[in-house]
Amino acid sequence: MTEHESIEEPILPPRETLDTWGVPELPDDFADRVVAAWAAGAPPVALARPRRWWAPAAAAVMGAAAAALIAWWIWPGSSPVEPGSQAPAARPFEPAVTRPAPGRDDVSIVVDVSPEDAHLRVREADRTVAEATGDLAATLPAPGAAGYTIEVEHPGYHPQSTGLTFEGRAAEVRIELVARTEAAPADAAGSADAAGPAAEADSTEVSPKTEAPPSREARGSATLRIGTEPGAAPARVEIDGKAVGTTPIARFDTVSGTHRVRWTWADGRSVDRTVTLDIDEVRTLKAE
Amino acid sequence: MVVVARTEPAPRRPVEIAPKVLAAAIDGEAWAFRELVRFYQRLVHSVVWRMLGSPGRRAFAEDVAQEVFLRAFRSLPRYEVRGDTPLSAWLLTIAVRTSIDELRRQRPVVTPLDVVAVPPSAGARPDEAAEWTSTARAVRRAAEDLTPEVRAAFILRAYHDLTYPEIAAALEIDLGTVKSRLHRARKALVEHLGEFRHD
Repeated sequence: MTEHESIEEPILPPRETLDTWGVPELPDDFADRVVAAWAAGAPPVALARPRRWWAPAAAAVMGAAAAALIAWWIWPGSSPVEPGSQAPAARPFEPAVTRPAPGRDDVSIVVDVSPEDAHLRVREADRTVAEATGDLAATLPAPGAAGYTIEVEHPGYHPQSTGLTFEGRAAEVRIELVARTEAAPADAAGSADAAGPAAEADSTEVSPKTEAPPSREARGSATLRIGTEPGAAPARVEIDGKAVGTTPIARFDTVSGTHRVRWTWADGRSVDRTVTLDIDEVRTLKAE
Repeated sequence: MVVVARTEPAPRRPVEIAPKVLAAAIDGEAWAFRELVRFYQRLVHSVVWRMLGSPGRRAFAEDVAQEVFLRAFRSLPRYEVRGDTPLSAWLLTIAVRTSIDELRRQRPVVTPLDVVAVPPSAGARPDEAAEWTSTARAVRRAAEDLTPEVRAAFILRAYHDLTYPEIAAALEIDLGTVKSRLHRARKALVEHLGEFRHD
């Protein structure tokens, strides 16, 4: 008997018990919001483009056109020849595509970001050459001597930027943003060198994020709404030892972090709760 | 207390979306994305809501559910339509992993006091409704006592009837670990529901 088979399958409480823990309904426009968010964040550089049904046919047509062009170019008699002279040697293959400017080659770049929906831009000087929401895999013109700058940002996180210079033709970079409740990285700008030409398909993974100890000093605003359970009498409320009024308290603006809330009723009974609020969080608390 | 006036819980093993709609979504059609979200939003949201375990952050759960679908859209071209994994199970995998990522990022939330409870029927007596609310609270607290990984296994099994191999694939663990996590979930549930029954 394997180790798996030796463990009996656990029996969970009956379904009617588990189903008491319900789930609220989503708003009616949830699907529209998701689609709008997807459309707004669609990356201009093809990364995971959906397959198009016509793609194989298009590729075949282009291949046939290229083959016809080559055949016309090298076919005897297709090139101008003086009568009586020997036919010129077949010209070397030159596909009908635009080649990069002399001295510049394309480079392959892969940027892995965290969180996964962070927005990133690849810039050369003051020009954006590529941008995406989420990871990026692209072939770009090789940059000049100053290289590229990769900028990554996401709401709730400290933005980061890093320089990227190339000695070879490929680079892979991973950038992890730091949440705003933690200290910003000490050195967000750095430079990363790509793999040399000998490592044609290899790439160097660089993590420009500088480890910084998390700080609890970073704070923002947060809001509490305080009440009592239906049927319970109103109660006086103290937050962090300070009286703030009697329930219901529709809105109490405070700072993010940990707070102590106390309800006290006329009969002397009291209830204490400790809550931890994130920046911009709105929390409703009730007691009975 | 928030009471949801819904008497029928979401179906455990959902019927999958029409293949034509899925194919159109893989091709990037916006109308198909919208239909896919509408079809699976309840499924995804139920996992995220129970995983995050914090009823006071309703908007946050909606944001995470949205992120699940955005991640799914990005990965949709890699989904194997003729593979062994139904789309619903594939989405559940993304939902639990996204939720676990969020839970690892967040500090533990202390003492949410309101709970979403499903009353036995629209005409339930007050004592019946109160009992259901208390049971719901006990189930939720038991789930919140679990680590995110154990909670994920419990939710996938208890609320979505995923098989043990499906749970193992979703959480990238082996079958023995699935069983041991469900044992821990059961133990927490017995502790909380047992305490409740004696009150």
